[in-house]
Amino acid sequence: MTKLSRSFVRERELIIVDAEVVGPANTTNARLVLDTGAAATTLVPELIEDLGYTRRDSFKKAKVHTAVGEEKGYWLRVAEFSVLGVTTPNFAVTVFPLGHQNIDGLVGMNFLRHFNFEVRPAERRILVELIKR
Amino acid sequence: MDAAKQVAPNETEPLSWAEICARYPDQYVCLVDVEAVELGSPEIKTGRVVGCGPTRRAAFDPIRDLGAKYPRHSVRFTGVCTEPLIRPSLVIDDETLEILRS
Repeated sequence: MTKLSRSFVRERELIIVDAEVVGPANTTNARLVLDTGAAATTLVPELIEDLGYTRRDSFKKAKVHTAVGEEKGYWLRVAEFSVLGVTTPNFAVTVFPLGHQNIDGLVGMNFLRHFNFEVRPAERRILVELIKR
Repeated sequence: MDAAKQVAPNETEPLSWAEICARYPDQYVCLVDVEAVELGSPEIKTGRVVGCGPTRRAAFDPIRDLGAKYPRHSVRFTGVCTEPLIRPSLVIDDETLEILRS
């Protein structure tokens, strides 16, 4: 069984991890919050545009409730999405603004459910156990 | 000119993250040749600045059409955002549930 270890940054008590996202124009690294309370992985629109995608590449509209009301975004598949040493091709993300300058999105359970992981806050490390299917 | 040979007009030498923050305070910077503190870490050790500005878009604009020259980049904010993160709550219908399970 393959085990990986990655460090994270604790910022304002959020767990920030590095992501690599591949699009048609280029590849970018992003700062994402590890969020086990989020069903879907979310990326901000500006990051998606930098990768060479537009809203026309979306395959479904999405809707979220925020503290200020309802907001409309969309679903899109990025060519490749990597976090914690795990890479998924053709990965579905929701695209919404988060209104936070230091955060590019959230890693949600639609990505995290594919492996086991253990958060070790005091060590600022996340241990990942890949599962053979 | 061949796009692959074009270079962002203001590309810097490799700078440490502390130097980047000091030189470009409270703004977005677009970085290339980024070296992380360790593999997979979100902490930046060094990088070259190829764009900066008050918005993410402004920082990325100098290399927007230079994907061949700069195939990998990272846009970061050098200041500290004190706004609370408002996490969106996704409205999940049956179709959305299928996507989440795929």
